[in-house]
Amino acid sequence: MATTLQCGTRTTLDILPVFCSSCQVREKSVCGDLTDQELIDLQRNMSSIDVEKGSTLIHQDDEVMHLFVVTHGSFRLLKVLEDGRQQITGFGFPGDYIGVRAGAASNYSVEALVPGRVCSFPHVTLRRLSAQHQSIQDRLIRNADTELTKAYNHMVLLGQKTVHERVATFLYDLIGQIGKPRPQDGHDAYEVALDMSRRDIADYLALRSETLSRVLKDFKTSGLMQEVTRHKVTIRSLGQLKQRTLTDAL
Amino acid sequence: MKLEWKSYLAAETPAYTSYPTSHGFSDAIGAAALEKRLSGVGQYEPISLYINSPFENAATLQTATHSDTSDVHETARRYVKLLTRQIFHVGQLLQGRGRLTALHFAGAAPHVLLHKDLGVILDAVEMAFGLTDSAIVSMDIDTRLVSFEMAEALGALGLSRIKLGVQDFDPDVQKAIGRVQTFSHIGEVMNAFRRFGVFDINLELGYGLPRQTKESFARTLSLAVSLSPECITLRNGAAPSPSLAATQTQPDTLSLRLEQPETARHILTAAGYECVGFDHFAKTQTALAKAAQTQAIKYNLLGLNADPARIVLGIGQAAVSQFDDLLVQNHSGIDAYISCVERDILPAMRGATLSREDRLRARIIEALLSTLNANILDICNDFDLDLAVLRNAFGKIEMLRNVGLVTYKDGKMLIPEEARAFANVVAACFDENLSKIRHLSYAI
Repeated sequence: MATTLQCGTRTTLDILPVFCSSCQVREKSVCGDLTDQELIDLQRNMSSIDVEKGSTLIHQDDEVMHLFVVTHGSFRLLKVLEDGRQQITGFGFPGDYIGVRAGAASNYSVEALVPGRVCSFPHVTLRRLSAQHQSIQDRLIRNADTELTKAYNHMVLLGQKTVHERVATFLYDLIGQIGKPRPQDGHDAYEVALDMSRRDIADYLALRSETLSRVLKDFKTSGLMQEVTRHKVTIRSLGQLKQRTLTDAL
Repeated sequence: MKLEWKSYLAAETPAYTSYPTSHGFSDAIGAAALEKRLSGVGQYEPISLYINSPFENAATLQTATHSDTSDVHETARRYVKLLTRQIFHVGQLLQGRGRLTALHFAGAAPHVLLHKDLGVILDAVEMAFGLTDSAIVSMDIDTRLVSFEMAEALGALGLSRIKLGVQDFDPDVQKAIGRVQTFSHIGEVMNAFRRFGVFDINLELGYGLPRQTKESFARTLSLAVSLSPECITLRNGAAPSPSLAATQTQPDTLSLRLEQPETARHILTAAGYECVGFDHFAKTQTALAKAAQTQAIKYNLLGLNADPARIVLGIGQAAVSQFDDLLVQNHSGIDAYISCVERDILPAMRGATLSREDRLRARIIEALLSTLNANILDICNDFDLDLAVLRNAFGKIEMLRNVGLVTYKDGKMLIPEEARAFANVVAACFDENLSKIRHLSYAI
């Protein structure tokens, strides 16, 4: 079961907060286009929250009061069916916006897969600031679209792709978001952390766990993947992986 | 049970796994309506899928499809090809919408198809609809045809729930209904399935069967309890064939039939089972019993179930697809079915669109059969319809009220537990199409 949200660092100084100046995702966040002075204004109304592993950031059906921008960690988006069964509808990584649709009842719950951190912006503040800063409004609209695009892409993923294509597409997108190059293994080699369980991945891809294991094994046997562990995957060539998202050539 | 109820025993009412029943279907509703409806399914909307193999065994399939090969497995493979083709077609129309929460193999699938073929179907479903570990895979099993190896293979495929059509343990009764099998064999079958991970076993028994006596029926119930199935279904074994029906309407048989559901209720509840819906007994910790307590139980084409899906899609000959506002049945003739599937046309034969009033009636019937009560006023409000639309139904209900088969107070209709075997008769009062079924209309 998820534990309650832990509020951590909360800063209200008149200087740029440390977490902002060292922020890895600032260019993706709502504050990306703001000057340092504007950011100091904004940070009076926002907070950076440490999120414990397993805790719930947003509960399904609750009214969405805050926009969260992930700065650290990995999150899973899940929908609980009426019989208690859960279904993974997506994942959230640094730079992702969670809870963009203000005031609406959330379609899903959001849980931290590892200890993480998010910047939390009250929607009521964002509405006010949007009026003053066109850039904030633009980013909110763009990311509302991104949320819809993600849902649409998930539907396409499940509707048109073979089991191998589904797994390849998932890994390719994951590397696009949080992958790290491995120049020592080749110019196109990457590694990516798997913070989510195999079961979560299988559920997201609408596959049986056994099928997911079989496909990963196929990828390893074919040489596309160098290493597959519980928490990490290393691939030899992103280009080759991309090919596998398109065809089911075994 | 009261003697006045006897006259209602003869009422062979429909099972109401759908409303309208097939009597309310029209040729005008078919592929186009289904195709349109599939495009309106929500992204993560729960879906139940069932694969229909309406054949007793491989030889029956062979005859039905006028197969030109003497190899029954080759014939089965051809049928699997048709099934997978329809699976891919329907999956394509869904375009990634919906989420499969249950997959059921109806008919005697494992006795017609090899487990390898069943694996092919599961792979197709996984690809076309998505199939996760949390989806419940269930199957109807003919205990007479099951081997230890088959149980092992089915367990390995991820089967989690089975329904065993036993009917009765008494050799005389078994002979009379043409279903001879020993108690020890059924016990071994259940042990084998449990050993391979199938822990949800539903044992189906029948009442009103020829040669049943008060003692033999009580013995059958005790034997069933000794096998400790998760669930026991007690179906009305009234035979549809006229000759058998004649033997069963004899006065002494009728008295026994009147007693049997009550006998079952006493023996099974004493053994720790809970009454669920109109014909199920489930152990307290089962999903079905829990769903019954929270009124989350459903009654649809797949019978009483705790699945969250309100959409049932039917694959295979004569299978029906069910939505709250649409019912479409696949061709029941194998030639027409094959001809459509091979041309990638939805093999729809007939169906029904449900008006608001139809949906109101469907909801009341489902509530009565799954929970034995229905808040008629609330349901009318849900559909924004006046109670007056049910005037005819209440006329019929009045007769049943007079003999105590149902009570109605403050908008709430309730079927007493001792009358649950007559729930179908109460439900039939709300069936607008009942007059179309000539042999039924006299009873109600």
